[in-house]
Order: sequence, then structure tokens, then C-alpha cells
Amino acid sequence: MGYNKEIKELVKERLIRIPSNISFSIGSFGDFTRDELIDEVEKETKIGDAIVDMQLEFIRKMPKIIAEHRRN
Amino acid sequence: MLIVRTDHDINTHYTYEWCNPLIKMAESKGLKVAEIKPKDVNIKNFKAKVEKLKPSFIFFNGHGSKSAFLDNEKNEFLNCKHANFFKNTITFARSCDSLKELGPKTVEEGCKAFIGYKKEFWIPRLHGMETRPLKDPVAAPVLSSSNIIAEELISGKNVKEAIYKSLESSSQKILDLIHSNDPYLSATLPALFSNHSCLGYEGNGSSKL
Repeated sequence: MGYNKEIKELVKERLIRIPSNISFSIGSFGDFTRDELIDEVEKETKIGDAIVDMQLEFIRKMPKIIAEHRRN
Repeated sequence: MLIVRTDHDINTHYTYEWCNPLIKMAESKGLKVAEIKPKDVNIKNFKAKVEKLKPSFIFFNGHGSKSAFLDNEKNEFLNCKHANFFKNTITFARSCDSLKELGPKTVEEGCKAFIGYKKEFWIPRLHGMETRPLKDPVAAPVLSSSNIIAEELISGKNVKEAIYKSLESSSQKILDLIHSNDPYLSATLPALFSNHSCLGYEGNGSSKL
């Protein structure tokens, strides 16, 4: 898809805070270490774009999750 | 209850192991639990079990696509052509994407409700815990939130209530993780959020086992 540089940097910055001895199994995409995920974001692969999408969705939806939780 | 689970890579090993507490719970509640073991997952065995046992609840754990479930060799073994096998069941698919096409198709063919995910199912894990998935502190919040769906159904709740309970649990965990300084748990957050966002169902939300 190709996100702008600032968004990619923001997502990479969030990923780099994750300890290096953690991996993610992402369905049939396979298993990824933190550094491999950063690489996928950098190369704008399908999985890299999925990670950027997810992080942006997280930022957008967070206020709603907090508000719903407070209501309950 | 019919459990179908594969176990051929780290991801499926985690979901496989996280079914074990659910099997125990279902049996303790007097539910009859049948299983198709990883190497026996194929359409012939699936059809035979469904026709013989007429399960009210089918719980699939393994890789999937928008229109199919994959077997232990990662080959498609069941797709929209087989949607009628889910007639009169509540089905929960802990697999990627299956709510996009397979879920709606099963409901068209008489499945009471199909619970699943519209995107990839994420599992974060701590290196070195591969042989003890139930003890992995990074994966636990993600898989326990997903397990709640089956737990609630087994306890007599309807589909809508089961999903609500799971979402409520993951929302609470997301809020806890946001305020946590534990760097390991920061890895859990994106996975929990991603799965939370794409969980849903097709069919009748009032259905119960």
C-alpha cells in the first residue's frame, strides 16, 4: 500500500520497544521476530502493511475501547 | 462437542494446547467431547464424525483462509462446498479469516451461528516457552480471551453473550497493558487488540448449546 515515512517510523518505534526474545505467530503468514516485523514494515510487504494498518486502527479505536469500558 | 485441531507448527501447537483446559471443563460439565486428532484431520473423518455424532458445537483450531480450513499438512481440507456439514451447529473457528466467506456460507446452509475472525489470528510468544504454551505469560492474555468464548458457550450462555464476555475481557486486558511498564506485556497488546477487532459472528446470536 505504501504508507508515508512518518507513519512507518511511528510503527517501527512502537515495535522496537518490544523485547527481542518475543515472536509473533500471525496466522498463515508465519512466525516473526520483532526485528523481522520491523523489516517487513520497512519493505512495505503485505505483512508489513497489515502491521501498520493494525497499529493505526489501535490508535483510532483506543478512545472507543476506553469509553465503552468506563460505561460498563 | 466436536473439537478439530491441528498441531504442526508453533502457532497451531499453542492453539492445540489451549484447547486442553476447555476439554476438561466441557467434560466436567457433562458435555460429551469428541475429537479429530491432528493427523486425522481430513474431510472424510470430519464428515463421518458430524454424521455420526451430530454435534451441537464444533470448535476448529488451526490455520484457515477466508473460505477454508487447513489440515495438518497445511492443505485445504474443507471449504464452502462443505458448508452444509455445519447445519444445526454452533461453530467457533479459531483460525484466520474464516468469518469472511466460510462463516456466512455455513449460516446460509443452516449453521445456527458461526463465530470466527475476519483477519489473521495473532499469537505473541516468549522464546523458550514453546513446549509450555499454557505457561507462556505473553501468549496467555490472548488465548485466554479467546478461550472465554468456548467457556461461556459450554456454561450455557448464548453466542452474543459469549462474544461480549470475550470482548469485555480483552478490553480490560488491553487497558491493563496500556498502563503496564512490563516490556514483555507490551508485545501482547498488539496481538490482543488485533484479535479483539476482528472477532465476530454470523447467524443467530441468541443460539445456545
